[in-house]
Amino acid sequence: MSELDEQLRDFVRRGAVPVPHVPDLLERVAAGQRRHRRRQVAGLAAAACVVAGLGVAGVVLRPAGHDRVPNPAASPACGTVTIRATGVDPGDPGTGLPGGLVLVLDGPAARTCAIGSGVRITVGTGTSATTGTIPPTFAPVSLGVGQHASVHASWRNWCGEQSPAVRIDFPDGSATESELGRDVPACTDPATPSVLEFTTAQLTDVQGGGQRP
Amino acid sequence: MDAEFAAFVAAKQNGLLRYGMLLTGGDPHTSADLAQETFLRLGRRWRHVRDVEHQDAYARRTMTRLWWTRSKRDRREQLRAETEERAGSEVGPAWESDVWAALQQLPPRQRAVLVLRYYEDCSEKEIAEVLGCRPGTVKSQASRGMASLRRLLGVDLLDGDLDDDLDGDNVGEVGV
Repeated sequence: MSELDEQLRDFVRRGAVPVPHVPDLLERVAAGQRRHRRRQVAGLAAAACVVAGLGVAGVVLRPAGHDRVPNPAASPACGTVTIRATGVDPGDPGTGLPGGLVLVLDGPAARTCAIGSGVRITVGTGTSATTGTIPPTFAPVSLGVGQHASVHASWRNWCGEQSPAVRIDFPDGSATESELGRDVPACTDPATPSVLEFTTAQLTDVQGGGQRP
Repeated sequence: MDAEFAAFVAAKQNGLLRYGMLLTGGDPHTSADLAQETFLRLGRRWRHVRDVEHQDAYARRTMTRLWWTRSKRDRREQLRAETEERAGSEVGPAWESDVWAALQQLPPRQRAVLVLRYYEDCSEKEIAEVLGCRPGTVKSQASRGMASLRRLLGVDLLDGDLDDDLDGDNVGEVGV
């Protein structure tokens, strides 16, 4: 231990160092504690506001229908209509008797679906596709929940793919699709488009039968 | 304020203010601020602090840590002041106490290391733990501080070697 070390140790422990007079130090500390507590409370309140705000914002900004139970009233009425069965009458080219197409529909899940003007039936895809639309003159058939309906159309001169798909588009934007079997009308004139014409639609009873595609 | 803590503040404030004067090199305002901040820190952990065996040493170390942090934050100003102090030290003012005046001439970090070292008899490793820095930093600050003190006090360089002293163990405890 050097003399300087001793001098330093002695001085820092017992040396004549002027001590500032701070008579209000206790009050200053108490005030500082109060400020600290206020800041803590304010911080907690701010954090709570942020959390609550994020929660509210999350609810408000959440996309409608996202992660929620679908509201049946908000969805298209015909959105749940499906093609239960299909039937094709190839016709007789020899006698000129046109073929026919029958589609059996299962009713909607929630609301009545109108089978009427604007409903479009399409068979096939691409350039060979043919379409028939229900005319405005046809009185709509109301297909209720749990009901079934049959849609009839005449169909002739099919030169497209074998086992084509059939699709029904409803005016509310929904659609349903199925595949037809190999029984399709004969191709009588490849240069002429296939003709599909709506004839009628009606409610029908289905006892679990019908031809599945 | 807790009555027990208020009594603690009242009893220890003079000792801590004096220690603050040592750390700050005689700045009464900064010393008062440091004492206040130290007591606030202790107050926040009073449940723990009141059970500490050596409350005085605990308070001094808290204050030293605060001063160390503040001096790091203001290092740019301190480096500028250090240059000015070196220039002024060549004049050789008449000091009432040579050691006190020499300590006042040191840069804050060097002074903090030396004060902690000689007040608490802390080893280099202990000082590093208190200040939250590397032992190498403590060693270099102490070495430079001692070299400056020797120069300011006109002490022969052969008088002692701080590096050897700093490797020693903590040997004592002094009240605030």
